[in-house]
Amino acid sequence: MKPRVTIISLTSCSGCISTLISLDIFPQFLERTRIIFFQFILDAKNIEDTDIAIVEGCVSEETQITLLRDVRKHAKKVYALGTCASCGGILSLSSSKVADPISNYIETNGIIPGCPPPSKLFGNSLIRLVENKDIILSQKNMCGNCSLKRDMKINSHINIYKIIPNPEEITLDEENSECFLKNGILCLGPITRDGCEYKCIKMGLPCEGCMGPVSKDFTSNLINYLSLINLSQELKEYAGIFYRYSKPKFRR
Amino acid sequence: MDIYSILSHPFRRKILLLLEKEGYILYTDLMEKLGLETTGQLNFHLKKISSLIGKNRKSYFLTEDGKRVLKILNINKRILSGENIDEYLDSKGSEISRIGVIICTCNTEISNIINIISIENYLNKLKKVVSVKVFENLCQQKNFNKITQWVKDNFLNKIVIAACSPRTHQHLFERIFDNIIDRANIEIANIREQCCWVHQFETNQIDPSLSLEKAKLLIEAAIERLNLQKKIKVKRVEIEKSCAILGGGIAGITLALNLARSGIKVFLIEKSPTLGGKVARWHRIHNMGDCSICFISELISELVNEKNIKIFTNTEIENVSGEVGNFTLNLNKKPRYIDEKKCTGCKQCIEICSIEKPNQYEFGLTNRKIIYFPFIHSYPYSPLIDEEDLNNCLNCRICERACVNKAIDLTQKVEKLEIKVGSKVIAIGSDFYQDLEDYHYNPQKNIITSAEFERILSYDGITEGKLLKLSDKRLINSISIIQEVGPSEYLTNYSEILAQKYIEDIKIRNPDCEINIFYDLSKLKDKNEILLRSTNPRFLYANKITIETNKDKNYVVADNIEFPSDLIVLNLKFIPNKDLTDFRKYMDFTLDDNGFMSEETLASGIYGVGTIFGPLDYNSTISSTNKCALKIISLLSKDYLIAEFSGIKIDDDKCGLCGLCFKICPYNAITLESEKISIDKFKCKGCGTCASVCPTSAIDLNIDTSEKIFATIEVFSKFKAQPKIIAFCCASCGYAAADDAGLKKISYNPNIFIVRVPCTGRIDTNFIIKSFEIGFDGVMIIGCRQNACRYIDGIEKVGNKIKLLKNILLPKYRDRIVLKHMNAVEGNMFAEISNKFYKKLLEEVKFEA
Repeated sequence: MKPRVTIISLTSCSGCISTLISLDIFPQFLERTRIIFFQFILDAKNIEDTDIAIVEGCVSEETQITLLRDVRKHAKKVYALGTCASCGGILSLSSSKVADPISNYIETNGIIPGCPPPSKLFGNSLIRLVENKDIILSQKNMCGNCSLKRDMKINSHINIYKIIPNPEEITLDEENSECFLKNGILCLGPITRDGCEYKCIKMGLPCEGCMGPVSKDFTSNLINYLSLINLSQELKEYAGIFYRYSKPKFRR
Repeated sequence: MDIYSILSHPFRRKILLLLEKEGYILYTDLMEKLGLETTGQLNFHLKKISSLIGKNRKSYFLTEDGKRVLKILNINKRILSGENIDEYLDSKGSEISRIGVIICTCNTEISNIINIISIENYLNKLKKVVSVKVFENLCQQKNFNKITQWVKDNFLNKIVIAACSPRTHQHLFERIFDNIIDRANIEIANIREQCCWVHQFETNQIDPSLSLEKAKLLIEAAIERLNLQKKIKVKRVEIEKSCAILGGGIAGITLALNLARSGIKVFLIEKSPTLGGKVARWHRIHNMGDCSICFISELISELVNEKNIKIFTNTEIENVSGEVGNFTLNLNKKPRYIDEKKCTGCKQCIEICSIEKPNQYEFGLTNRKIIYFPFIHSYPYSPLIDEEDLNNCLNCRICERACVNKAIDLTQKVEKLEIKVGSKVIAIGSDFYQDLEDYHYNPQKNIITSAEFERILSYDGITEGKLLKLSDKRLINSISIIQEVGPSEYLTNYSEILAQKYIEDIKIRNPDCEINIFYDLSKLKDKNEILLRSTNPRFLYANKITIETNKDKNYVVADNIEFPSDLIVLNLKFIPNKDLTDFRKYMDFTLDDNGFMSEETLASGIYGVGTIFGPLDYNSTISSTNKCALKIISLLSKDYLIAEFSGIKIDDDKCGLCGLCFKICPYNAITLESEKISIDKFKCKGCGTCASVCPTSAIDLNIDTSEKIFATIEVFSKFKAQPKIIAFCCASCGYAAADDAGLKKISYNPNIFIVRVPCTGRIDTNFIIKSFEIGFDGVMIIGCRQNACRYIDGIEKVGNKIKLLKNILLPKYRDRIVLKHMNAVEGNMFAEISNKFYKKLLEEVKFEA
């Protein structure tokens, strides 16, 4: 019996869905499952009983909450796909729009984080879902396996005044590049879940934290972290870094 | 039949399980299934469970008793599976908790305010509670037997005591349950000081139902916390009652004597061939009168007579391993080439030796033979040959023949030793500043260092104590002393004392001698401090000082004024000992900005005395040594150390090595060792600041876990009245201040719920955000006064977090976080702040509604 799969999209850029469709294993995924609701490829209008429901995007409208509850009622397991569904996502930066992770309204069985999810993790997770297993995520943060770490120690002498390096400073040479914190660039690696294969860092850019936190919530982790380093005044008041991918519930 | 002792061993459980599964098993089959090779072990276990099994024609089976036992135990398959379940048993605390609640009415103090029966009924309905018992006066001796009986009757393993503040009677309660219940499994719900005494109806028209509800929630939160308490592993380290002292200078000698006299075995290890250190070569010590070699040799003779002291001279450290209580030191004892036991010190060998070289113990001012005494009062009193000198020597072996006692043995080899000690002390002292080119240093041209000047003043030195020029042995009539020669970053507090001493000594020898003492301000960082300390009219301060030589006459030029000097003395600064960097390979400490050892970073069980922390004069050295001796005696007076009771634990599976924890730890208890975070359990004081910043929750405290704090907040959020305030109070000050309000019976509103944290540094931003999310309207953080935090700077750490948090919150929420500093006796301030905050929030909540 093939597992029945429902994939729905809420407020999002559909980046996660595009990634899903472009996955190497997507044809195999289609073969081994029975898709019963997926607006990108099917015309089905109603949510029906399903084994696995994958939800992409954040909740920002009342109707979406009804839809979500409907999905939860019909699905054995519900998974949040991408940073929007699991943490709130980039829309958290908006001051007018609500961007809630789906876990605020329904119980979820797991998340596939990332903006969009890294293909290796995504593929592995899908296979595990088809095989009726739980998704395995790293419990560590990024620094442990980071190639730039070497003998880096976070200390108060670090002054952070930038969030991205100047374009001319970006180097792709891993041998010569140093930890971003040493150069005064904010890197969110310490508070971000491992598992993204260090795409940004290999391209000479600091971690933005799209994989979300391992425990606690993004904002409090970030505050705990930044309280240990010297941050320039304009960055302290720049809510953008504190709410980039998620926002505490009460700030509404 | 003791069923517990039978089932305690995994093997026996496995046997029972096998018997249940198979019915009848042959002895040989049983052995095979258990993977045993010898019969002895099986026989032993079979004998132990003989009451549960029977034997029929070489086959074993379960008796009726055995079947019944298994049936009862079958509820938990895991116990029966026969695997090694020690780990499981350790955490049984959380899986099987039988919680009992004791309510103390405190005569009528508590029962007057709240209805005890209502609380009892409420608690009895809670699923997690096994039994509730009300006592009138829990703290009185007559009740103790009743309580322990009740605990035993109900098979309780965890207890909530709803009574007075833990600060009042915690230790008493812990003593009552000393052998029955683990300390971590006793939780006290503070319903007297923080509920009944502060929410009295008569004084402040407080709704009695709110006080009752608060008391209920306080107890329920304590139950929730206990339910989450896991069993704590306790580590016990036996202490070796001995101490190794590295360095036989004045600090090492004094310390060794102190320790030995208090009954501790001491190993005194000195790198050079003689004890005494630098002070032994000084002329005398300021304000002491006595010449230094006299009292040093006296100290050494006391040292030698002490049975508890073992002295190793000419010995170097090869390696150090182990932890506090149990260090192992590997030593290399270099050959002396002379048997100390046979040698009488007759000096025949020295007289006959024909090769000379400069004596480093006279700072190169005089020459010595290859076989030599470092100085006249050196200990051990026998000559030696340096290991490296043996190759430069003529190898004539004339000394060997000259020795009457046949004490010389040129074939000696390095001796390897291993000693075990409970603690170790680094007393290797400091070095002198050596880069003296700017000062045209040249002893032959009468520009010398302070160390060499000591040898001139000394009666056993080069000039036998007379003030003579080293160049032509003529009397010295003018001396210039240049102070603070060395690195500009720090000052030495002994330079004035030393100059003072020199003035006295010079005046005794030549009353007409002209003495000038110079400070070069351009080379000092803290000019003002030096100028403030100025006391003596002979001290001259100049912005630039140079030394010039003209026709064999030396001049000190201070701000263009020339001072002709027969002798120029450079008063050297101490610089960090060059061996310190070597020591870091096997001992745990870091260096400070000036390169000296940083005292706070020493691992536990390792101490430092003397000038390794920076320049010190003689008296400060001795007093710091005595202080250190006390520390060591108090450490080694115990038989064992218990670690890991309230400390932290690290989950390696979650740790990503980001290093936030070792940045924040105020005691440097966390270090990175071979790609793994490790904790020094004896340094960790359990403040929990590390747990508050760990982004993956890999670190948690053993007792005040985040899980428990969240559970507490959640229980408190059930309070029905608005507005609700949560107050995180540090255990030492904030919580005590709240208790103080209770003791003074200053009334405040029951809407404030107090959560005890070990230190305000423990407070995670997540606690605050979660509190707001869960429905609290205000968050109060009460910590110690600034600069008075028990854990150094916990209150500032939480202050930083709150500053950042307030920056990004909506203005409405900014005023809803209050951070206050308080003393333990400022109960009135606590009540005042709480009431003010409550009133403010009350208006805001009304306005919103």
